[in-house]
Amino acid sequence: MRRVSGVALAVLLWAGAAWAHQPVMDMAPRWAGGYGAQVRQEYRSSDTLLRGDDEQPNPQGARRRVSTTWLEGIYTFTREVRATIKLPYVDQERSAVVNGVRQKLRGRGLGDMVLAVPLRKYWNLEGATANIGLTPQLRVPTGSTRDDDPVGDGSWDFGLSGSFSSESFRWYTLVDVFWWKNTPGRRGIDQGDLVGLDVNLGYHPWHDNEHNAGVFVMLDVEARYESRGTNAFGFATGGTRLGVGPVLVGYWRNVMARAEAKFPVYERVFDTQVSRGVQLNVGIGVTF
Amino acid sequence: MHRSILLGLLVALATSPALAEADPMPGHDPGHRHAAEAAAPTTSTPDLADRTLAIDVRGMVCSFCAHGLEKGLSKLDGLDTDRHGDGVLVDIEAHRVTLALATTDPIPFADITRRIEKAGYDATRFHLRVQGAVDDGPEGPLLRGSHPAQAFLLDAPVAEADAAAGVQLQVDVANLAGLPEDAPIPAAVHATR
Repeated sequence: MRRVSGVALAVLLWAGAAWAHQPVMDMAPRWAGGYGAQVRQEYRSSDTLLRGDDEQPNPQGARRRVSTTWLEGIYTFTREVRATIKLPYVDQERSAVVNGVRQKLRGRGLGDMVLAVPLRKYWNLEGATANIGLTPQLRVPTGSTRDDDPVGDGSWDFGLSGSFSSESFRWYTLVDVFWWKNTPGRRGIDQGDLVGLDVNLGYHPWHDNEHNAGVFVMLDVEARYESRGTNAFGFATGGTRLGVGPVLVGYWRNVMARAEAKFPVYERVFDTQVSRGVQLNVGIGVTF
Repeated sequence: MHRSILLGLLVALATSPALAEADPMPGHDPGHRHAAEAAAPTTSTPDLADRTLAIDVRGMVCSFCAHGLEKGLSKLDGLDTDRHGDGVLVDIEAHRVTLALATTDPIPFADITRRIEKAGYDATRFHLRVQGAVDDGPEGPLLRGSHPAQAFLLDAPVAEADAAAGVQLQVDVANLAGLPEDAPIPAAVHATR
């Protein structure tokens, strides 16, 4: 029974890859006084049940669906100093067994806001540009913890990421190492700390100078380890995950759009949890 | 297994293709060397149309990122906005910005350089055509274009007959840092017409 309940109430953190990236698409604006905004939609859904890294039967139909709409903004004081804000609207649902009865638990509303100050050091080379970055981040508990499946955890959390990025006309690379210290929240939620590595490798096959338009394709790899924590129902969260997927980016003048799919290559969870499954992400951003 | 994958990725990125593709960075020259030495070309020299200024911009490889550069340069006075939409053409493959000029006013090199730096890049070399008479200055031949306030200190002599009659030269200009506003601008002669 405990196992069945544990299975049905399995929880993964609702926020994830989005914490590592900065608007707008990690690239712009790099000019002093520039600003930008982007809207991004993340979606993932899975009914794959894992115990450790073994897939398990799922007779209770445990399922997890998370849809998050991110509104993100950035202001560039100088190319070395920026400020960003990321505000999520979360709509999520999970299957659960409460007191032996299978239920659908839902949470919907404004999630926890993420503030960051990306600091970067640039090098302009002949035919390329490169930068290293250090980004302190703060997660503000603006999300409600009242829903059946709470969209926030009620705690202030702190993050730090270090990145290296280089770009030539044809190639783009980004390596971002990030860490989050998650403090205990309300309703017994105590998410584990998170460390991760995000790698983007991009190729730029087409560009039109006259219209400032083009596309590039990327491979996105994300690895993350989240220490053991507990959710609002007292069950374990956290584990190790590796996701890989293609990214397609298109731009036209000051507008950029990005679409990506990330597939779970490896997952090992604490106790029993629902897999993250395939993550889909589409967004559009504009700079001024 | 996944550790091996990550290790492989890190090694691959350590030899980042973006940086491998980059040319070696030329040495920075804070002084006023002779124009020919200072402006030794590292990129191709454009075949310029009339009233056109081409600028080599170091690090400009991403059109989306360079939007601020185009925005900043398009606010310059004296651009011919009938060309390139706003008078500014960004070529990220050649790492070059082309300005379409509408007037024969002195070219505001310092202002252009500042705007490019504010956009996050470095202007390394200007290419332009200058038409005018050449006379001998204390440091070498001076080419005065349509605006007498702006003179170019040439790195090569011009035939006496041509100098008196007036010539049209395509010149490269680099290393303007610290140059007084009214000083002759060191210029490497690229082509004579």
